[in-house]
Amino acid sequence: MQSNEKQNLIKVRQNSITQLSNKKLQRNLKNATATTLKKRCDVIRKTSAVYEKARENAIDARDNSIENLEKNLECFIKNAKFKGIKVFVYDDYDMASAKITEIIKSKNADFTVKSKSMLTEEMRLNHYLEEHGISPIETDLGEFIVQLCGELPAHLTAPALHKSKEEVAEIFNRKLNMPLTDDINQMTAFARSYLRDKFLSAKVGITGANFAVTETGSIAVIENEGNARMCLTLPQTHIAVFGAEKLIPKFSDIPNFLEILSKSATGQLLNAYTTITSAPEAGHERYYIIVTKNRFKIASDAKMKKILRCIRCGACQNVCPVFQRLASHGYEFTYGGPIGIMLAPFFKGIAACEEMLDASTLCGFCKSLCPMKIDIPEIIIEHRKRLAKLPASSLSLKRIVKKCFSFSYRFFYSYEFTRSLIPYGIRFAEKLSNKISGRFYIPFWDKFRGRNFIKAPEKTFFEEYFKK
Amino acid sequence: MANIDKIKVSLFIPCLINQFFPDTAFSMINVMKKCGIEPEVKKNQPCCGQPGYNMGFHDDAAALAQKFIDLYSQTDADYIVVPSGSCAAMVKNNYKNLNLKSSSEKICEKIIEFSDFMYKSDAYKKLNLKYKGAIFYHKSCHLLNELKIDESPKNILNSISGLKWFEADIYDNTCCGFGGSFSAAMPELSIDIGTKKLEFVKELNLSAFVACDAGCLMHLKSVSEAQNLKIKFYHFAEFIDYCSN
Amino acid sequence: MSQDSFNIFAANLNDNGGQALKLESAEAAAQKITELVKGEAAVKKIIVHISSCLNDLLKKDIVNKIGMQDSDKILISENLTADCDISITGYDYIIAGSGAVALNSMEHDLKETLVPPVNILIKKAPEIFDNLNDIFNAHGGDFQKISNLTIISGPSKTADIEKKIVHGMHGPKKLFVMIY
Repeated sequence: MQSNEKQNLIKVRQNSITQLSNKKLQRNLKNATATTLKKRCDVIRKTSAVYEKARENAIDARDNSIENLEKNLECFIKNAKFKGIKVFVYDDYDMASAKITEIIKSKNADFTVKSKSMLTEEMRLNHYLEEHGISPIETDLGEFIVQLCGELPAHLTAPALHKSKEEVAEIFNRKLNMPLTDDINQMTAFARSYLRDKFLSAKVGITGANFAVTETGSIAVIENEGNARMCLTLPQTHIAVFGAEKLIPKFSDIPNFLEILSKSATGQLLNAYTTITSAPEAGHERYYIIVTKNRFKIASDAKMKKILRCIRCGACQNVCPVFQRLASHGYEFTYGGPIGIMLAPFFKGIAACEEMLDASTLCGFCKSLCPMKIDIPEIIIEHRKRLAKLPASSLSLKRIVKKCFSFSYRFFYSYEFTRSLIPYGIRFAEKLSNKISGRFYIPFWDKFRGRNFIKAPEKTFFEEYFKK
Repeated sequence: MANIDKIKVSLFIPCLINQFFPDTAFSMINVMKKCGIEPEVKKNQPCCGQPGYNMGFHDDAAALAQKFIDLYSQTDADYIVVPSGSCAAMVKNNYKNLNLKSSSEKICEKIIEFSDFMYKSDAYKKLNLKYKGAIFYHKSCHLLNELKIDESPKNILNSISGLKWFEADIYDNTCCGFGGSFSAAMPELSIDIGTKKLEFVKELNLSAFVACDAGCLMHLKSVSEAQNLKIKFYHFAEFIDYCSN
Repeated sequence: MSQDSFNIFAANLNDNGGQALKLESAEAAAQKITELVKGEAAVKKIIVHISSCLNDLLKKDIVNKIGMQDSDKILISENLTADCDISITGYDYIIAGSGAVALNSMEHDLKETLVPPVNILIKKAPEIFDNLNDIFNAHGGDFQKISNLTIISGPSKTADIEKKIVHGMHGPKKLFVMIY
């Protein structure tokens, strides 16, 4: 299995070179993330007392849920069924997609309107539906844009943040015959009108769920545009697709999450629409499709379970200096940035994520912003530790080089004699690096990759200090 | 913190400073002497173990950590002062995650980063600090996010008469892009992050770039020289030494 | 309800892109609504839907006042249709700290606050809560009352293109919250 994973190595470094060379993309990413971070700082400062209290409560609630995830899920399902909701649970993505397809076909529908759901991206639901003759129409503006472009979303809450308005106008013009314009209001009005027809004629609407309440079998759906409400209320059949990690214990936990999610995600006091619902209204039908893939595994992993605290606000992505350059695409996984690095090893295998795990400076800004106080650098280091412990059969050259470096630190600093060899070691490394320059890089020295050698002084500090 | 005249201080010299920037360590000793402190410098200091720890080689890190604890459990100093946020964070926050033969608790309590020590002990007040001009103060990531040290160095900067200083906001290029092994594994990203950081500094046209961590300084220096940017880099200890002359 | 609470609510709703209006009486409220409707009718013919959940007397007053306007340009529709331009509906609670209103879904047709491009919400002396926590705790245990709850904090919005905020993506472009 390890050698397969190596073949599937996600080439993040190569992707970084591609992304960095796209200057327009880099500018768009920087502007988008900086704008959101500034708004976020302002709103949290203004409401800090409420925010901090809500955070503490939300963390307790989520930790509580994770502790007994399987049992809580059973309880949730029971309560949901009691309210007349049809519930199906799957560990396998395709089986979940198959059920959704079956439901849609049973209503004689050949298309469905869909609001934002990261889980459905994980599942590649749209791809499955299309292969089985059903046309899924993304209705969140950002998702609608990337769907037309045939791309994956670039960010958790701003799927099209890598696109300029000219690029959006061009795709609307090319695929939907919108007259060319550079007025964002006009483009939005066009999309509204186009999608309104779809909402009104759809027989089935698919949404995600931001939170699922164990105690009542309810879900909470959070949004700004109104498309989730459209998918929830207009079609006769509503399907909510979400992962088991969305569970929270009590109905009264909801406001704590509401107080922190939009503030952290978009710098808003509160998102425009929050729909808390359970039993479908008269004449309507509701399904919950719950996916458990890897969720129980993570929940039972003592060092990793806090990852499930994540409420998908995207603040970690906004502040990450690496994500600001790669966007989600650079990680080749549903999620990018810090949350992506934490999750990917479970989904792609840890060896395939070797470069992804290297793509972090461990600066810790993600941890300082995370509303759920997830210690992201600690989790990344734990993943790196597990990678380092993989058997010899799955060794990569990079890992060998790293081990040599780590071991030589250990060796040289362990004994007085070896310590005295350090200055000679450095000079040797410098001469060697000069000779081979560019072919093998020795960490910190790299004249031909945009950095100059920092020449080590003749004597180290200890040599100088203790010579007297 | 107890009166500075009664405190005993031992120094921990980070490997980067030992190997590449010995002047920083000498500046730090100079500054302390000016404050009336005679710091102890122990022989046989190991590396704190952070490089191995961050890369996931915790056996190597533990071996070095054990050496660190063995060495410093033999000091009667009240504080172990270290001119590095990342080394201090490694000892204080991560030693407890390692399999060690002896407990690191007592030592961890003694470890303190240099600017934090200078401020909390009031030692900086014994110096007559002056500087003519404007500098950029870089908040090294581990210092800021792992140790939550921000006020101490800034309060000292505020006490330097004639000094104007600038910093970056969270939405304005914060990390320098070094990240230890990151700079070797993802060189293009590392250089781009450093370049954007220096662009920001260059725009402000400041006379010096000051930080409490040698890793940041070394990385940005190497990027700056490759791009011929002519920015002067100082470790916080060097800068304070300079300002006290 | 204290003036302070309302002011906090109004300021927050304003920040969110909506508008809060406090009127002295049902009559004044009906008058204000008529002005808003007339404003929308200035550019084109419009269809107005008045929710059946509104108080009968208030509804009559609004219909009468609107009827005194140019009836060619303003048509009142009993049913909520896809081409309605304005809906005038009720709501249940105000949450001052969030600049939001809440509706018990069992008692309202949710499409009314979603489909038309202009939405006017009106209620007599609504219960006003400081924070979201307060509203969930006030009726804690009484899940039937608010287990189906919709919270609206402003007009529909998106910033998906270059982070420029645009109102009226799928839901209403303009939101007015009135109390009397």
